[in-house]
Amino acid sequence: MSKLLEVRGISKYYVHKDGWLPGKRVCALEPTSFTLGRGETLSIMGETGSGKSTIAKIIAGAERPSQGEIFINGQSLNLMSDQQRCRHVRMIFQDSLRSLNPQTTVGKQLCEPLIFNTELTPRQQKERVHNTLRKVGLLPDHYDFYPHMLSSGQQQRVCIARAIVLEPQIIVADEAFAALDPSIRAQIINLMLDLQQDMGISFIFVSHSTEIVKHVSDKILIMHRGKMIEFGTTQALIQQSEEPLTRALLCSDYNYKVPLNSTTKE
Amino acid sequence: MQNTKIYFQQREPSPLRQIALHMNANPFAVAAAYFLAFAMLMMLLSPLITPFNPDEQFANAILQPPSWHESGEIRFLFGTDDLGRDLLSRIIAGSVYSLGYPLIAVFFAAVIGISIGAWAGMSRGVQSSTLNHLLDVILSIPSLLLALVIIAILGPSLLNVMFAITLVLIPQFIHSVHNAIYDERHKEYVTASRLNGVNRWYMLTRVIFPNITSAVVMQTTFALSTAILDIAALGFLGLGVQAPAPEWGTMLARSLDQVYVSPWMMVLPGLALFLTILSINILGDSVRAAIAERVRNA
Repeated sequence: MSKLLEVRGISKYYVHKDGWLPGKRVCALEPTSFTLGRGETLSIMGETGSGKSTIAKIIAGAERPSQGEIFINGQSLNLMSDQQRCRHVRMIFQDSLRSLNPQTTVGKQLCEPLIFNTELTPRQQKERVHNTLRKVGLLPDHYDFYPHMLSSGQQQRVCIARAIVLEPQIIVADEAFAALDPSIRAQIINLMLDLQQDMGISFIFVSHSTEIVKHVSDKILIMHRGKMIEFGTTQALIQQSEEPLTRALLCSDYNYKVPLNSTTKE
Repeated sequence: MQNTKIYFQQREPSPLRQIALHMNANPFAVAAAYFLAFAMLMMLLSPLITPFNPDEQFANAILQPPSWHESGEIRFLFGTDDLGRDLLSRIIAGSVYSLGYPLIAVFFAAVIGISIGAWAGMSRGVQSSTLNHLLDVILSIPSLLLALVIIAILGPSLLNVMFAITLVLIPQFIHSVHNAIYDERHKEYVTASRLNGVNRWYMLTRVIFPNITSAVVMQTTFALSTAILDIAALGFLGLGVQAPAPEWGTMLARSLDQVYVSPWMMVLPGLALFLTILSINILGDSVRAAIAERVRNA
């Protein structure tokens, strides 16, 4: 299988500056490498603050890595502008309402990426947005709605529509389902799996939920305190994992105490 | 033609419409808006609707009381002043000086201040800081005092007053716009738009600006009431608009000598000034309240 995405040693440090003294470096993500093939789904799991959102944001371009490079089809993403990047990678944010502009209609927001990344005429843009809205189970009528008029599930669908309207190769979803109730969550996951089948998109999910991860992912990446502690296929990790943390995350019946030291293999 | 409105459909109003609905629910805001609209209309039509020329002197009708007084005349609805000039005409014509000129000053201050503030808000680091604090020295002096200083240097005239007031209002616009943009810039929807690949101009005008209109409107109403008050105060002191011109503050100053003989000469222009500033402040305040209400309900 061809490698769509290759992540080579990305890391993220924050500098906490306090007054005039040189700041203290805080590590959010230690150098991490992995690859992802076309049409595959990768789940990133881990505890709160383990750096999984940081990976997602770096891949999507919301944050810049301190080191390391990301390649898509062999091209380096670090050299690309946001405009070039968004044709390959799109992101779905955790809080759908906050990631939508409250003063602009849904339709105009969905047209936004089309204005800057395609040569479509305004009429074609509108048509494409209508089609995309239909794809995610909304109506063309929702074009003129403002985000606050929609329910949270519909808002999430708008965010998905925004991610797929440019037909990217990779979609990064940062805990996109955490705030939804189970039935809508199931709907939206099925929707995303359908889209994956239709359009051959690779997904990167950041998730807490074992059920979702087991259901959708081909590969799983486990994070702990800014380090990648395990990376492998879902099958392998569920059946024979060496890390107690992995088993704790994937098999909730496994009785396990979260280690307080920095890595689990000590 | 096909009738598409067959079913009753409850539409939730758009954000701006919601603010308008909140404002409509507040009777004071509605009254203030109507009064202000009336004052603006009066100002625009002032050359046409004044009953007499505001500078025309009627030698046989000096210090005529208003028409509702026993010795008043219906010819001079608000009475006449000590030179026999019709007070109603002077108040109507005075709205150009007391409302129109502040509007122009605020317009220029807003255009300059919002541009610099937006530039400061969209840039980062030293550039942002420099632009933001460009005119901060002006903020250390009260606006009226600064206007006095400028007039002391350039001499009393309406143009200098306008220049002084515009200069005083600019840094406030810069700060409020810069702060509003800075608050918005770190929200998720702005990141989402950046990942849409939009350019900076689109980001500023279409993505961020609709979300800071409330801050801009509030700042504008605040600036407008300051400007009206300052121009009237300088006119009152004899440093702004010069005597024969029917500016409300100048009229107040002139009426001081005869305040016991003819109180209407002071009360009527004062009332016009008071109502104008009050309605602008009420309008600004209710816009703010309406926005707060909408944010709370969202």
